[in-house]
Amino acid sequence: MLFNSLNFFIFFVFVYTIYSLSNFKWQNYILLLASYWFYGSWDWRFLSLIWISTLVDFYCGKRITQAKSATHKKSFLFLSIFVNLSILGLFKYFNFFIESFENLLANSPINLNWQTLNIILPVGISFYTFQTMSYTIDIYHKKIKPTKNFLNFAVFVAYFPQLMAGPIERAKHLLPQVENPRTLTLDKFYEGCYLILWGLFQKVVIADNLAKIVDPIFSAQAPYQGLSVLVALYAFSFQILCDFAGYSNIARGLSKCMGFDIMINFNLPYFATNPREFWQRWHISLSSWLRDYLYIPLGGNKFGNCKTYRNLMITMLLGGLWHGAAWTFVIWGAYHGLLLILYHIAKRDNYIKKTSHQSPFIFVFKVVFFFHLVCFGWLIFRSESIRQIIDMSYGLIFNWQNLNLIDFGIKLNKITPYILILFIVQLFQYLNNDLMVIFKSHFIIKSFFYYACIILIIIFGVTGGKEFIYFQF
Amino acid sequence: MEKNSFIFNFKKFPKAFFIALLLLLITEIICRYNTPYIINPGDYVLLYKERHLKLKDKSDYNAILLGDSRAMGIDTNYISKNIQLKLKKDFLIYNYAIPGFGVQGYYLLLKKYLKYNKKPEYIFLSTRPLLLAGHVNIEKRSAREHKHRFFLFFSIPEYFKITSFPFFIKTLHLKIERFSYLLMYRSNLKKLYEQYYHSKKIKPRIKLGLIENQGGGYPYSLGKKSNINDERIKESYTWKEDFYVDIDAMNWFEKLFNLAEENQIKVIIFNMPLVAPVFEKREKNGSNLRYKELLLTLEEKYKNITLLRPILESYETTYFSDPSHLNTEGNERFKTILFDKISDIISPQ
Repeated sequence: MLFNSLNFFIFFVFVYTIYSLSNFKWQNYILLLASYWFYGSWDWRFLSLIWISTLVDFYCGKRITQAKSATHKKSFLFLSIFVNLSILGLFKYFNFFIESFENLLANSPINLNWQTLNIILPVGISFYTFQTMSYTIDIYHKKIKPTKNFLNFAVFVAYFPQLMAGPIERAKHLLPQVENPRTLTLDKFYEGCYLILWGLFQKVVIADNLAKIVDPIFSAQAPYQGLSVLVALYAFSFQILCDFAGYSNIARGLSKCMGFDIMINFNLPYFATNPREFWQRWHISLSSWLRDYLYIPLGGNKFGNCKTYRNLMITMLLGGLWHGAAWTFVIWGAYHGLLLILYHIAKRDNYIKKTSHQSPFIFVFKVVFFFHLVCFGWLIFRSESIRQIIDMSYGLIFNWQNLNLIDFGIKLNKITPYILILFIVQLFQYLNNDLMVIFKSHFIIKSFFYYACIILIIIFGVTGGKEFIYFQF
Repeated sequence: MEKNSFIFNFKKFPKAFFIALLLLLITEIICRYNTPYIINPGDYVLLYKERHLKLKDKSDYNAILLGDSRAMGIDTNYISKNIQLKLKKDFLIYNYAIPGFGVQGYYLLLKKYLKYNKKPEYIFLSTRPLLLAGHVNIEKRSAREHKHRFFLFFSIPEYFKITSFPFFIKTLHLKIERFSYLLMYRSNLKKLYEQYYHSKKIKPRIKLGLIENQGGGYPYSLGKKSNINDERIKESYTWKEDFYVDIDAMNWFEKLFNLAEENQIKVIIFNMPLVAPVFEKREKNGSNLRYKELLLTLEEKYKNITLLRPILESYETTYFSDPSHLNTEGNERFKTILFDKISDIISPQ
């Protein structure tokens, strides 16, 4: 059941009606049932994985607090992490590691001939396993207390608006909202509707239309023409942003309507001027998760430059691998790790100076420059194989012979209207330093914005419910 | 325990939302006002005929033509006029051919026609192998526009009568979409924008006068460039495959004949010409023979049925605009032949 489908609309209207008419005692039951129904509509079998994760983490959370010795505490934490990573490892990475290991030994006399498993990747597995793991880790570090109510914990794990593609919520933030009565207000409802509309617009108008341009280029065979690769990269940069940010906005909007407040996952990432800022703006819930549960436990930046760089690289490599079981994602992670290391070096050696006032031209230059670095990262991310990364990079750099400016104009023309709309809205948001600036603007501006969004969704929206990219992660 | 404060408050009236709705309503009105520019010709003909069917001050027709897009191009005014000259009496025919209609649609259409009009003496029924093979039953049509067309022509209870309950539920939202031209013709609006964007010329997609001049006839492929080549013929043939009888389709067909019989209406069945390469392939694999035999059996079974001969014939590709539809020359040729055959049957012995 996709957010951008009629089925989901009917589902949500039905759930929301019952939810808003019920008192708090029943609301969590309704949420849990709706969440399981929502997830089960993809594949009922994988509900069992959510149940395992829920049961184990609820139990471990309790036992960590009750344990009297540090060893006991550690063993329950280990159990929780082990179960979650095993689920993730088996369903997401098992075949990848087997195949990679076999390829590594392909030229050696050792013939392993291991069998890969015919496994379907359960939707949203990376999101809810990370979310539940953070619960037990936070209990272990005494940042939160375990919940006593199993129902509340089960709702926290399976909460349907963010179950499939995040944001990866922290128990500290979401669990109290599940545990305490929520107030449904008109203000929240309107805010929620605004976010849903904008998210839907980002997904069905911008992302899905750009996908029509991107997909044929990436599915073509080498040699790639530089112009095509460039257009595909620009288009994919905005496709992936709108696809994922669109989902996050819809998730936030649905939550607002139901009285929840879930975290902002995207904060105008293409206005970042450096890799650090980019990761503070892009997929915020994942990058902060990796920072808190991987980078800092590894030592962060406390033990000298070399170890900082090592920690950055490990974090980004695993961050890349989180996105999918393929070497392309690992390389993408390494690429961003490298950017972060270079940025640290440049900052350390004062190549980048801290100034309180920055010339707008320099700022624009930095934004544009860094955007192109990110774009190249998307080439790695979107490629199907390492071979394709090489071929496309070659095409992008060297294959500019017989450049036809008319052809360039036509290709650019196809993507410009979508990017332009997004750019205008985001510029407005950026200049006002407020993602909700349109919602807070004068009602005349707002009404035209709503009208434009609805009309464009009707006329230019891609129908047929194209899946969100991040569902596969 | 806190209570929900989800109570509507006039101070928090969502002005922006209602202004946006108002703007959408205005856009909807503009779309309806400019229907000929945005609507598909096939749909326009459908709307036109649906309204025509319910008109009270129109002439009583001696015959109505039922068929699909292939028969839409038949100029029934021409046939009417020539029959009047030949028989020296009034003989009015109206072409109620609807694009994408299957045999369920014909049955409902006849029922609806009889509800609003004096019963005709004749029905000229254009049939084809796919109709009896069940390919054009509403449940088997994959294209969304075909389902839309049923909803456009028939009310929810009428539609309910011809479909299974699960299918009815599954497609019910299409009826809701039909209330808004903005929703229904969104892809046309997109094309209109692209057309404006590239050429800055927007032409009406239909020619209004033509429908009335041709007694409801409207060449389906009017204005379309001829798109007929070996590959398309091959595609068309692969899609249609061999002829076999679909029991469900036959039941609907027989319902139609029974309804005609109850109302003492004579049914004249004819087949539109097939494009030669498809016809030849079907001759070779025996599909044509099986189909002809079936129609002959029906003719024997029902006293009110007359089957026009030859039952199946082929025209060269030059008479077609695509592998299914005749072009202007094809329609011109066919209407004279149809007139000859019909006039022979209805002329007093």
